[in-house]
Amino acid sequence: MPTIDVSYKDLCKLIGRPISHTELQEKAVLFAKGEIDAIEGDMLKIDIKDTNRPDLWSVEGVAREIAGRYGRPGLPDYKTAKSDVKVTIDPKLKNIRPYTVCAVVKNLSITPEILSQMIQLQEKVAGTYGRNRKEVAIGVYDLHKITPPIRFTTTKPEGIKFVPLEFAREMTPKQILKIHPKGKEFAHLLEDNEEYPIFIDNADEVLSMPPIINSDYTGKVTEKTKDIFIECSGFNLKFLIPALNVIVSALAERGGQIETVEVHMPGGKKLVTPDLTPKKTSVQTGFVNKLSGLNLNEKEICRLLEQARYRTALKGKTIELQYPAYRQDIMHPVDVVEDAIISYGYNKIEPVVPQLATVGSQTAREKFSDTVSQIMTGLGSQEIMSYILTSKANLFEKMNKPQEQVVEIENIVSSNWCVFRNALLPELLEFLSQNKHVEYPQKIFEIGDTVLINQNRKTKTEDMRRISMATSGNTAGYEQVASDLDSLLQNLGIKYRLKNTSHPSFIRGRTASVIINNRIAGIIGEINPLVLEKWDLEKPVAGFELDLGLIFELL
Amino acid sequence: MEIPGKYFTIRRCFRPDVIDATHGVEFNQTEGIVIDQTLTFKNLLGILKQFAVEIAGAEKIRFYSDYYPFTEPSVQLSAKHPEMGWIEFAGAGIFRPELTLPLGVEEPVIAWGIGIDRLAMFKLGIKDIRNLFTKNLEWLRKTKVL
Repeated sequence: MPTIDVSYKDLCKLIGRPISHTELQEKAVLFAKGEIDAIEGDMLKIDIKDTNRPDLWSVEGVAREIAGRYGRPGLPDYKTAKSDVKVTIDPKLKNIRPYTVCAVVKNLSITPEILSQMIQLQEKVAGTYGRNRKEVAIGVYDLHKITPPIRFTTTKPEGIKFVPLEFAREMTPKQILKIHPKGKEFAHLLEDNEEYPIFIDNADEVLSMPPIINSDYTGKVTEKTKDIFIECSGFNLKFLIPALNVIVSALAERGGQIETVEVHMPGGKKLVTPDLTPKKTSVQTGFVNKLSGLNLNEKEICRLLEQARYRTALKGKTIELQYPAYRQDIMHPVDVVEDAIISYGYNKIEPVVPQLATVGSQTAREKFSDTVSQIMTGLGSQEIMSYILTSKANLFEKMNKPQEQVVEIENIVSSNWCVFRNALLPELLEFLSQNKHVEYPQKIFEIGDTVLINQNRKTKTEDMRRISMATSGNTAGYEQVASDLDSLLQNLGIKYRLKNTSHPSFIRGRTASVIINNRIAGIIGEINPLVLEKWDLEKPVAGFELDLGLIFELL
Repeated sequence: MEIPGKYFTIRRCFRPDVIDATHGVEFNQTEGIVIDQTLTFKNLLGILKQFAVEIAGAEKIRFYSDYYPFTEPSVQLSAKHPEMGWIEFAGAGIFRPELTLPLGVEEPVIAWGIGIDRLAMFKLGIKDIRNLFTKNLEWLRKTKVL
């Protein structure tokens, strides 16, 4: 979810009236699917929750959306004139970066605030919407440093030299990918190509090498820049056109005058961009009420949609709609309904619990787990809950066990949580080790999932519900836990037998396998002093661990 | 699937996140759907409110506009913790018809994902989500069972 920095003063100015912090937080910013994350002086950090509405990722977009509900409803009216700038696309770009759409914006009075918003919007659109510049790269240039027509063509890695943004010397494209910070960051998007894309003007001045970097001469926009040229390049017009529309519509909110550019594609096709003609859709008034549960008349629905920046025309029970070209997210009448109820205000809608006659119950497996938990509690054991994620040290090293294959996490957050547990007993020992100051005897248990490798499954893994109990105290021993195990299994009506076994975590001669239906269903015994030492436990511990999945299947 | 129907699951979930008082890399979540011809967005809010007020005992709740690719309209539910401020409880919505129609479902389907651990924080008066996985035996022995 994009988080944007905006100036509170700037926001209020664009909305056209001051709005208190509280009102902004509790009401206004919700119209733009925003949530205020932090307020630091004049700066607001706003989380925009809609990852499919790049038009909301700037102060201009947020203000436009709020203004619709604060006295400036209806379709934003963005006019475009024709510029004399032409761009031709070289057929050699076909497999490199085949498309561009462009625009000219004139008469801007760029303040520091406008400049920082322009950069932020450009970064968010290319970053989030444009998949980190892969689908959409955006370049903004000083129009007066460019001599049209512009060619979108290719260069060899050792070919055309230019001075990249924020550098003082000329470099080859290859050097830029190696040395420039942006070159290094985005080199992976280009380096497999034999030639790289480049925008170059009629005086052979380089504009940029997308999706990497602008030229320091043409591609530097400052507060002195009045007129700009914008290009978006990528692989798919489906992403490029909305991206360009979002950027120019934000600048139009700043008083910029939008002019179109002719883009000549290979094969003779001509595209005139940006095309800000409103898009069309419609919604039935009955559908709005059916989905929302509200009881709105036609006029009210039209008013709510006008507030959401639509133009409405009522035809019987149908509302014909026009909406701004910067929106590409409206695919179905449900999208229109959401806009209407956002205008209405989610917090003004009365929540109604549905009256549906259904019969509910837990699944048999969960019920079984609950029964086991009740029996264990009855036996005087305290239930605990621990994380499924753990470390190999806990599972193996501290249990005196050789390493086994476990499910591991590739991009770990912490070395304490890097594998899925395949047993519960280590968690119980860790728990005991942290409660040495607490009154003994201690008796604890956990019922929980373990994750095992199973090559026969589609996911190659299998969840296994288990129970483990452990008791610690001066007299803790095999007999006590065997008695608890016996009570548990008898209460569940399970026949079992114990068979002497050896296990590195337990004391030899004081350890048994729990056999149910001729299958090993678990282990019981006294914990090996070596293991106790590793956990820094001073009193004896005995315990058992059982496979509840297997027992459940036998019931 | 029976109509009307209500279905839910409660399971452990995992995510890469920065761990703090309200975020863990491991947490319990309930996801559920309700399906019926008569369901509306009002009903979705009704169900969410029920979770917040009746299960968690929250006194102040707020709904936020939200976005999920698979629901429209979408909504976020937050509740005000007496000491910790507004905490997000749930993300929810009505499934997009593009999702349900190919499955032969013409009725509205309400869907939600609710962080049970956060509900528990309210109910138990816990100020750190990590304490739900506490290793403090004394606290466990003395704390009232729900």
